[in-house]
Amino acid sequence: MSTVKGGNITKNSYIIYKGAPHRVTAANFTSPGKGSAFMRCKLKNVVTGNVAEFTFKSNESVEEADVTKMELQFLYADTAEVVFMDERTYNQVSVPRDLVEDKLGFLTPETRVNVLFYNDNPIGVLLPPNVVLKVTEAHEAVAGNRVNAPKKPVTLETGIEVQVPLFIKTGDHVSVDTDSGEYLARVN
Amino acid sequence: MDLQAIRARTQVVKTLRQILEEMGFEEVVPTVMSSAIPTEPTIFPFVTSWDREQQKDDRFLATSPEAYLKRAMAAGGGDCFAIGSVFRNMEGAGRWHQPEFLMAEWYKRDSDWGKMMEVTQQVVLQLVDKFQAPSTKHQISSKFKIQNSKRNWETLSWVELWREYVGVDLLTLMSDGAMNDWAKGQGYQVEGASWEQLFNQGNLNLIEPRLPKTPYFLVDFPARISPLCKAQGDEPKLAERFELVIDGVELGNGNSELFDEGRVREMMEGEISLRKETGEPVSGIDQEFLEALGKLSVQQWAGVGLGVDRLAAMIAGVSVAEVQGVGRGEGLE
Repeated sequence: MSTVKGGNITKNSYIIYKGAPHRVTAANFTSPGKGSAFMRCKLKNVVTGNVAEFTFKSNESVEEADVTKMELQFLYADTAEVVFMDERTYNQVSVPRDLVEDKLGFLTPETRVNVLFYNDNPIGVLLPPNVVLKVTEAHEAVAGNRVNAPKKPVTLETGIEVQVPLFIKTGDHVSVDTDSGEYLARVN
Repeated sequence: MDLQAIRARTQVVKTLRQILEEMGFEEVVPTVMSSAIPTEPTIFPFVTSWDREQQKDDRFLATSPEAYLKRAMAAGGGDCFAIGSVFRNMEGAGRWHQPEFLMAEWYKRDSDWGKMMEVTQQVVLQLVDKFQAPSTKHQISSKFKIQNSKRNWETLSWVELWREYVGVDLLTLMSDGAMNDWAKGQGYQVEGASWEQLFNQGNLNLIEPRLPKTPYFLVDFPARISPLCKAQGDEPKLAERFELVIDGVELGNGNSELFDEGRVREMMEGEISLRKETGEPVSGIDQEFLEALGKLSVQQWAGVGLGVDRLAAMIAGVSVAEVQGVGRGEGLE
């Protein structure tokens, strides 16, 4: 079991908090009393996605979570599993579908993602910050709708719907933020 | 270097000096380096050395203007203040803290912590009113927050906060054992942790996120973590001490002054021998400071220290490092 000092916890590292692996989404050093320092952390449970906040003493030992990442290619999803492949070895890795359900809308075959493993079991995926997807269904913008809401919904190849500017047409490729699910730009 | 930001600090210094003088405080200009400084738990000095031919002596950078001011008071001075550079070792840096910063400290005779809270509030309100903000790149939101706050800042008691948010009577946790037991129950690591650390860990996790953003005074600090403060007459476990907090940031720390030379000497000797064991930076006993306390022992004073850089950074909407002109600093959010 490896440990890290509270004061050395860094953003995007993985630690054990209340017995479960968490990703550190924010870590800020603070010293409220003179000399007694703390690390205020925002944590996200890598299995359940639940978020928590906790402040560690800077000199305490915190258990690091053995979370590893491997870059794999998305192959397909069936009703129970989502299957990824290592391009070098052709080894396949299956992740339970319910752990990545909310991410399937951003995955097209051959998309490369980081699959997360905790104690060698796949527990989820980290998507790239944005992905490019093809517009499969876009209606012509309605005239008169341009002043206050110059956006319209379109459907992308994975089935998700996003709000895009009116000039986007069927067949266009658009870049989408995988965190917020929002349209970023048209890609040629 | 952001000139507007460093001008904000200059202007806070000028305005503060003007306000304190108008209120009848006499300015003294403290030295930064001394052969000995007072030792307090959890405050660590920067140590340098004065090298001469065949002779070498430790010199200590001031951790606050307190010792110098108290010596001036003991020499017969009246209400007084100093604005000086201070240095705190073994602390991290962040938006609100750097190892070097400017501290304003003032002392009033025939006074106590309650009166000092009133004076502190007057000084900060006047300062914010008089402050002509140079237009920095950020909004000066805290300035407006202070200006728009109630003119009578609320007082929050640690004992009541613990009762309300933690569900525990803080007065029953004053021993190491009781605090350890409570902290263990919270799942906190207690090995190697001091009472003060566990108290602060509880505050940060359970109380601080629920405190208001408007200005307030925190009171009822445990006496055991308030070494140079008088204890409260009716509850000696608590100190006559307050902290001023604005927008979640500690800006000032004040108290009724403890002039019990014997007790302060004992506390300092204990801390000095502890640090000699651990190898942490420490000065020898500051005899002149202790003598000053002896001379003041029959008098009633109260004092407060105010973080000038923090206040300037808050008003200008930037970091302490930026008002100091030392870049953006480390560990910023």
